[in-house]
Amino acid sequence: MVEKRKIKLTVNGVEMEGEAEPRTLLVHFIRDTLGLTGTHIGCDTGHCGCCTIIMNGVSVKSCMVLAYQAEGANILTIEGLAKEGKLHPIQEAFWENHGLQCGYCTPGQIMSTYFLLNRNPKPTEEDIRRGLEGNYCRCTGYINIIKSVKAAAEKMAKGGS
Amino acid sequence: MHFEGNFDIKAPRQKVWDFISIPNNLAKCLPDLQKLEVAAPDRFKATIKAGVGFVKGTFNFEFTMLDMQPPTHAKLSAHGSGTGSTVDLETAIDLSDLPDGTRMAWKADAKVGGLIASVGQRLLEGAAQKLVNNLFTCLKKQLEG
Amino acid sequence: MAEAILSKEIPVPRKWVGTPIKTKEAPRLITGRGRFVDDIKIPNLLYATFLRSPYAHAKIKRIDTSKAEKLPGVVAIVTQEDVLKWCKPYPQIVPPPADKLLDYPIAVDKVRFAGEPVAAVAATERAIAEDACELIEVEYEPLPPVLDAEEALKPDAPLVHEEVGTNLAWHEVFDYGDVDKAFAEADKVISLKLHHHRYGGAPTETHAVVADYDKGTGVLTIYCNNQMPMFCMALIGLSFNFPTDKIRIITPDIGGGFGSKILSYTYMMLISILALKAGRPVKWMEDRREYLAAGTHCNEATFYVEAAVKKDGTILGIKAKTLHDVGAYLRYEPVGALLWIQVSSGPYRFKNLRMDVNALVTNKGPVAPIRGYGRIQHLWMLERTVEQVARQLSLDPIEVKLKNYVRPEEMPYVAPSGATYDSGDYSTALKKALQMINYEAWRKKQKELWKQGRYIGIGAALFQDSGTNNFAQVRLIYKNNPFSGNSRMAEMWMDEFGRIIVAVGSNPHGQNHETVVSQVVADVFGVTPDDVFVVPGFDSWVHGWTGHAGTYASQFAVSGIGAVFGAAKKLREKIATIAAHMLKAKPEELVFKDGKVWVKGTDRSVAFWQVANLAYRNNLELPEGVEPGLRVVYAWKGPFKLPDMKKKTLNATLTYSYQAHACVVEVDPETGKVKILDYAVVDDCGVPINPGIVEGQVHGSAMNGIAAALYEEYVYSKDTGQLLSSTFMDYLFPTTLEIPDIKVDHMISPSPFTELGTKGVGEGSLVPLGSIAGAIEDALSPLGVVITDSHNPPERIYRMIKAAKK
Repeated sequence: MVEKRKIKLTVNGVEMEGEAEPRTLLVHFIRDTLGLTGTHIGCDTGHCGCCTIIMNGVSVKSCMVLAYQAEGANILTIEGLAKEGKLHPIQEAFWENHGLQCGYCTPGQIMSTYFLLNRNPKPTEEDIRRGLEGNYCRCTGYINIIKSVKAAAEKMAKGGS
Repeated sequence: MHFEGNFDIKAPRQKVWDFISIPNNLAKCLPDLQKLEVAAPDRFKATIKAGVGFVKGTFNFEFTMLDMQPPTHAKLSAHGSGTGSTVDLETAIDLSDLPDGTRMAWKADAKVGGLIASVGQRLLEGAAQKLVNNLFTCLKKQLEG
Repeated sequence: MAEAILSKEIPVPRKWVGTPIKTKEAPRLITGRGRFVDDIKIPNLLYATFLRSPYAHAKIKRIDTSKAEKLPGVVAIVTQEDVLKWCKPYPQIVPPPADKLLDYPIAVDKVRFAGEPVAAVAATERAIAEDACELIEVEYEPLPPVLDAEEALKPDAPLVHEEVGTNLAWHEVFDYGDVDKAFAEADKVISLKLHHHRYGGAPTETHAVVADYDKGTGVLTIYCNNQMPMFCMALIGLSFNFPTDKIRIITPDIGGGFGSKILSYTYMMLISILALKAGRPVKWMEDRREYLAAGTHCNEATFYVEAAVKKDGTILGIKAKTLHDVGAYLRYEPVGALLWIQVSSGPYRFKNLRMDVNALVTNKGPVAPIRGYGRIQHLWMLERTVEQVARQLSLDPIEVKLKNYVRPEEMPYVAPSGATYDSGDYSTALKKALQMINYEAWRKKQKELWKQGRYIGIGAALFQDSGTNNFAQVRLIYKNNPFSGNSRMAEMWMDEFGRIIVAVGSNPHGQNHETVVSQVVADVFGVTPDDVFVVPGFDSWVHGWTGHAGTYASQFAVSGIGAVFGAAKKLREKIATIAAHMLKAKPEELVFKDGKVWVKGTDRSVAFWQVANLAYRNNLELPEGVEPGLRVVYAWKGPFKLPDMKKKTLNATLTYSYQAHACVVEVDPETGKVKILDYAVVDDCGVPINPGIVEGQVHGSAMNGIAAALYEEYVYSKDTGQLLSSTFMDYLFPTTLEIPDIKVDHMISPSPFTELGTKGVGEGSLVPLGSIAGAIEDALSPLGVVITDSHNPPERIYRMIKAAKK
């Protein structure tokens, strides 16, 4: 029998715990054990970025992290962005600028954008392209995503979060 | 993939032949051998650990010695599987006399399939070459003492 | 300028149709509340994984699952034994002998491509299922694989399907006009060998299935992300030994499809069989490696083309022998080898065309209706041919294209195959695109730049996106195929509180149907899109469907919207009848506005809920002859005809969107790398219902085309048929750094054949395949390089430059 261990972590401001095996990936732990299915899986090799979350203040691809590595971590997933039903400016910007079509890569795009704009509130287009290089999208061709990030930056500068 | 080469061994031809025609001896030079089972004088199974880059795992191989023409020519065929991959190997060995030993001329054709062939493909030839070199260097060492 | 009205029957101004409103789907998707198949949780769920063939071609001698079955947590394993009990072979649409081709959802007796499923395991955890796969022993007898269409044609080629006796699954010659006369009258004949490569849809969400069999009711519920599951019921129903009346199919949110999520009916059946055997529901989520190997590729095609031309660049006729490499199983093929008939002469007006079409099976992954199915290969071939015509006649390729385009005054234009182009102005679109990239300025600078050793080139191409297909086209493959026409169904009702609800038989995966449907319905009833609820996803027990239902082939704006519009008119008529009775007026005197029905020019009105009250709760007050309730079903039927089987002609598609692309590229002669300096698109999709959604699809299609032209290719090892581009490390899905900013402008040529003037637009035809090839060739024209492959990575270009410089 494979050993299972309980791990404790904070997710979207809430203390959570669950069991995992040593080989369990964080993305599977978040989706299947914690039941937060907004973080998606799109590949096997850490390329697509659909699984992007914020862990201890840094954007990570949760498929490249083992669940055990998240013991005691502070995690933000897509479900934690909107506060009390009010959308985050990044979410609003994506909606207003048609920054999504099928929506599968969108949580990852938004989390990477969150990290980018918190680090660099006035990104150039080049900064945006580099900041989202690890997030694949098949539907939009990236053009409206970049537009959305620019709009989000403006919103946040005017006094979003 | 096709490999071929020559090895010069400082040992007489009969000694070389006697050595390589016994499965247990050949097995000594297989990488990271986990288990060996001799089913018949010309057939043996070996479990080894091998890999290419980050794709590593356990492989079960079945070796069959064919077309044995002592002490000149031998053919070895092998089929291995494990880690979602398969290896089919055909090897031919030809021995000839040298003034101070034996020349072993060998050819190998390997067909690799599955995970290692697809994900590991860029590293495959290099890794296979290394494996083959290690095998023959080991044989040479065993024979030269 | 006359105000655009919604339609002749409902002459209200378009208030919502034509506006780029925010989508209804976004709120759940931007908050991570979308519901995709892998998000579905059911009690007692098991997780499945597949053991797949490591060989491209081999006999299966023995499968031993005993060790795997003993692993704790393993509940059921399915192999060919189970499949043969549950399945008959899939029907084929080709004439004999290839109709004998045996196709099952799992490998039976033989494996025919690397990655083909050999066994399926269901266990309490996915990781346990994977461990179990490693314990399944399979003894194979490897066979030599055939990995190339031309090799497959040879008499001594290994047979992929011995039961067929040949690898040539379909061969047909189509002869339009007088090709021999055209060639006799030609000033010059241009010959070319071209190759269109294999790439895939690659949506970010892979295939997924949850199969749940209810032992109490006998109902099998299949959750899947198939783009057209009800169409696939034709194959499932004829193959699966399970009563079709008890199969319920649900598609929730789908993470992209691009044509690849059509052939997953094999998985829908396999996971169902696993669930039936396990006695518990089973979930399978495909991993990316499985998707790339077995999740469906686009048609790979080799073309031998000859063009008969006049000195001035007028094209008189074209002959082409095409070899389609369709992989190990036909599945939808040879439809992809046939669909050039939807365009036949492309945007060009030559009348003489001979197509000698061959579909070959090989030991590679099966192909699917990938975006632009069957048309992009053909349109790319035509574009390459026309450009070579120009170069060999020392004419400007762009001038030759403009000269040969169908003229707007010739629309509707009947092309050689019978394809009828509804409307469009190709020359204006191309010229506009060229203007957007400052064509004149670049041409002036080009010679100077070449002198400086900089290889900069300009390319421009126009591809049509033929949409809303006539399924009778498959009769041109085999006359006995019982398919024809096209249809969509929509159900619409107003509840007793006056709220409008719509359920459409479609499976959107990014096209935002909830939004566009609500826009059309809002205009019909004089409400806002927020007052219209479109039932999300698809459920075969809730959403009306016909055998053509699904989201594919660029058509929702015509067929799906046609059904919605028809249902809306029907419902509106019923409401008007009741309202007229209540207001003591005539139905023609009524106006729908702001959630009420008014008598025109007065302040007398009834609210929707008041009308609904009569229909639902108060029917003794209904007018004579009116049934209770406010629920209608409408099925749209495409205005098509059967083919002329003698001439092999057919109007196979109702609408023709098109896009003109122009680009400037720089080729680095040291590395062969191509940099896009400028890119512009002019899109014409008739009347756009939501321009914001349309523009997004134009961007996406352009990206798909750039990806195919420069980055994405499925590569097989030449000796063993292993897929080498098996992960995103090697299958180069472009990122934000590879796709440049793309300028987009629009033209609107309404379709005379559709009620709202709309045209289907989803596929977009991947025009960069044409424009980028042209630009690279233009950049390297001083070296005389000819682009003959649809995929041009740095290595290929580098080798061409080296060879030319010798």
